[in-house]
Parts: sequence; structure tokens; C-alpha cells
Amino acid sequence: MLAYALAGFAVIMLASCLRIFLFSLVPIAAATGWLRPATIDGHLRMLDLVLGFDGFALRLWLVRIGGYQGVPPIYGSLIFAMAKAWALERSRILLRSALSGALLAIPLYLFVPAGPEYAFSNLPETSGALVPASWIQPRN
Amino acid sequence: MYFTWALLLALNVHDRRWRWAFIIYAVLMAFATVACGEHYFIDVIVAIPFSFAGRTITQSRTFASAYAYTAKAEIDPIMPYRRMGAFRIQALTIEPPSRRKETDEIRRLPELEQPARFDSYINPRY
Repeated sequence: MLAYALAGFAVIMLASCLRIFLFSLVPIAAATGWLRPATIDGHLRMLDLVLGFDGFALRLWLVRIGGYQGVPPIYGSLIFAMAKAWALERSRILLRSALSGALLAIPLYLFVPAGPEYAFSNLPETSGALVPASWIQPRN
Repeated sequence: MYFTWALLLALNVHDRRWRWAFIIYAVLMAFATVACGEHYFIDVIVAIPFSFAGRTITQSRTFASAYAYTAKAEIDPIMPYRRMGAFRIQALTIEPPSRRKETDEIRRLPELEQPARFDSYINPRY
């Protein structure tokens, strides 16, 4: 059983490096970029500022206090958290909701393209200018 | 999506200690997605009702029954053909006498003594 677990872990890590699913989405993303070249990053950034929450400032503050190194591991640890949740209860509802959430999110990602990492040239500088969206620009 | 998944974990885990751990993890994930520059804060706000809506949809009776059918079909690949009633796959398979005897013995066992199948790994309570 341990051998199967280790083999599965190796396959998942390999798949993460190869970005197989991202490559499979390239044609769809390219089509969306061609149909909808304009992104709504500027509006979303303004909305954030209106709500009083500046993500760029948060990142700058984390970099300044030296806490930013802890952020990418949290972001990347989702797969382990999901594995732990599945191992705890093996809930069918969790399985279904995770799968349906991912499927429902695809149209949102494609038709409401946004993501400061890809849209602003010198993130997290607050004076960062919007990068013109190309048809192959990564969309989040 | 990352925050949505983290929130779904917190919503679906019933163990109290682990639920608190996953709630804290979801809050950290919300900050991480914004700090990494992957999303805006408004995306995180929108993800909350999105997560609840997704969970509610998957809890609905119609969705659950449809999923149960597909899950059973995955476990038993010839189940759709059995439902069609066109023919029995088992009748077409040729087994050696020794193997046939072994299979018949397994079939005669009471239901509780049947070997564990894949679906027994899924918790039926949730």
C-alpha cells in the first residue's frame, strides 16, 4: 500500500511539473483571448481600492517584514490539504463539490479574465501600469 | 479557485478540530491568493457565495442520484449493459473449471463476507 501511495505521489508531482492540464487549456484560452482581448483588471483593482483593500500594499508589506516567503508554500499546499480532508472522512459531497466547483469555474475564468500577476507590469509597485493583453496572455 | 477549494474543505470536514484547522487554512489561503497576485480581493469575496452555491447544488437529491449512477457505473463497467438487459456479459466469458469453482464459492458467500470493493472506501454518511 505504501508503494502505491509513493507512486501516486510521484505521478502527481510529475503532472504538476509538466502542467498537462494547462497545456490542454491553451486552445480554449487562445480562443478566449482572441474573442475577448480586453481584461477587466483595471476595474477590479479600482473596486478593491473602493472597498479599502489594497492587495499590492499587502504584498509590499509582507515583503518588507520578510513574511512573503511563507505565502507561496500556503498557496501551493492546497493539494496536501485536499488529500488530508479526503483521508479524514472520504466525503462524497466534498468530492462532488470540488469537482463541480472546478467545472463551474472554467467559464468564469475564461469570460471574466483577470489576475494582477499577469496584468500589471511591475507588481507589486502601486504605480504599475496595465500590460496590454495579447491573445496568448495567461489568464487567471 | 484555490480559496474556493480551501473553503469547501472547511465546509465539508465534520471533525471539529480539523474543521477549525481548515477554516484557518482557508483564511490564510484568501490572504495568500491576494498577496501572490493571483486574484483581487473582490474575487475572494465572490468566491464565498460561489462555494456555498456549489456545495448546495451537489447536496441536492437530483445531483446526488445522478452522481451515484455514474459512480456505480465506474465501479462496475458492465453495469450499463446489464441495465439495458440486452445480454449478460458473464455468460460470454469462458473460465477454466478451477477458476469457475472459486468464483461460485465467492458468489455463495453471504453479503457481509464479500470482498471489499472500491465503493466501500467512500464514506456513505456524507
